[in-house]
Amino acid sequence: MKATPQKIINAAVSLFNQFGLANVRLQHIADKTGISVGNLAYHFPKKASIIRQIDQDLEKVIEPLLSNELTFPHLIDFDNQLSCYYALLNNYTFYFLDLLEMERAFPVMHIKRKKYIQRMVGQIGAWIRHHEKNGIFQPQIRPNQYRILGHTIWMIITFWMTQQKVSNTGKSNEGTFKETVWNQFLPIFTPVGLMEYEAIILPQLKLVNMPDL
Amino acid sequence: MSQTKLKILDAALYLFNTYGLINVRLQHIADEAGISVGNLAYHYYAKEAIVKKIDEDLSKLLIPIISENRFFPSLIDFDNQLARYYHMLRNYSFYFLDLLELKRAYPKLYRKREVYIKKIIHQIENWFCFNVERGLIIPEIRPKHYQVIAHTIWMVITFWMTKPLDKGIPEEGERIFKEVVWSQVLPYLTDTGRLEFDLMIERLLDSYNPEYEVK
Repeated sequence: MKATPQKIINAAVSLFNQFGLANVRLQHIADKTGISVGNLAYHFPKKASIIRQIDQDLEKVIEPLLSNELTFPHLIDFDNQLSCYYALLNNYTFYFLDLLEMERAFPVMHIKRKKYIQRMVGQIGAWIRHHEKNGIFQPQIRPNQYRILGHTIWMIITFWMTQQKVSNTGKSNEGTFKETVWNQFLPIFTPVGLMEYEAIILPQLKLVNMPDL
Repeated sequence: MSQTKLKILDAALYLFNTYGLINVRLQHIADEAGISVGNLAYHYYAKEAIVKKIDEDLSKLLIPIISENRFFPSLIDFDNQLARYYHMLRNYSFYFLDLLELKRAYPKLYRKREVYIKKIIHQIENWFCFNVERGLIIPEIRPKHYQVIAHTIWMVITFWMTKPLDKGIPEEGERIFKEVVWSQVLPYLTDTGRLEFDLMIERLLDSYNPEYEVK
């Protein structure tokens, strides 16, 4: 994409993240980009056209994350996946906050999102079952336990940004996010799984949790 | 409280839950209550006054639930606690769906809520620790582990009503709500705890309509 359209998109995403999808007008986006509304309208006639472009950008980020070919044999691969999700949450916060508004005003985006979510829940579930067979996780102790676990992990990821804003627990932090997800697995590791976790993941988490310099 | 006031509050709550806090105007509330806007304004001068009153009602429900004196020693008491939360989620869904809007438009009400949130998480964590002492739950496998789990349980409760919207499915019902929360506790039960769970909770969960399934 040429320079100006990209600048407009960046400005729009940043404003959506900050003020919410419903509260941003073309004028704000133009101001933030440092161009006139006329110039902006030349590139994107409506807010909906900007949204369409952002939706396409999102597809490029999300599709690789959800790809069926993506296998993560090691725990560290899942940790990397969590990093990718965290980046997505951070860069496109509005996509996780403004569900009601999105459903009302931009249904195409919302429908696509629902499909992503189905695949995401499916992928997490498949990953847990895979590692149950592999001897990384213990066999489930109650029917549906791991299906529900997959759901809960999806909830943690999807609502992470909202809970952060709602509970006012300060600055968003990748380490806390990852720790919260990994804590879900802690009680179900086999001794082998726990060994891999302590050797590979735990040092990684400590590194992320280091305060910024 | 007068009949009319009650009618107004019922109408407002219904509309907030159905259309969202932001999309409801006094005119809608008056129509739903079957009175004129003038009459409505006589009882409540602004939407803010109605929201404030509903918030007070909600607090009356919530405060006993999170009261520190509330003692819930056995697993069944925690289950009852979950039933109370679920009741609240269903009757005041707008309060959980419009979190950010509430924060933006009614910051004063919101500050109260932040205190509640801390109390809820703290209470759940205490419940874990108390049952460690009772021998129903295993000691923490890592320092502060139950604090993180309590936080996750709070997230499950708080976003339960948002979840269906996100996944495009209807709300899944009280049984599934309880199952998802209990699943957070399950891995930490001792043998004694598991026995109590199987005897008390499993039976109770089974008594709900079995057609419900996690989707």
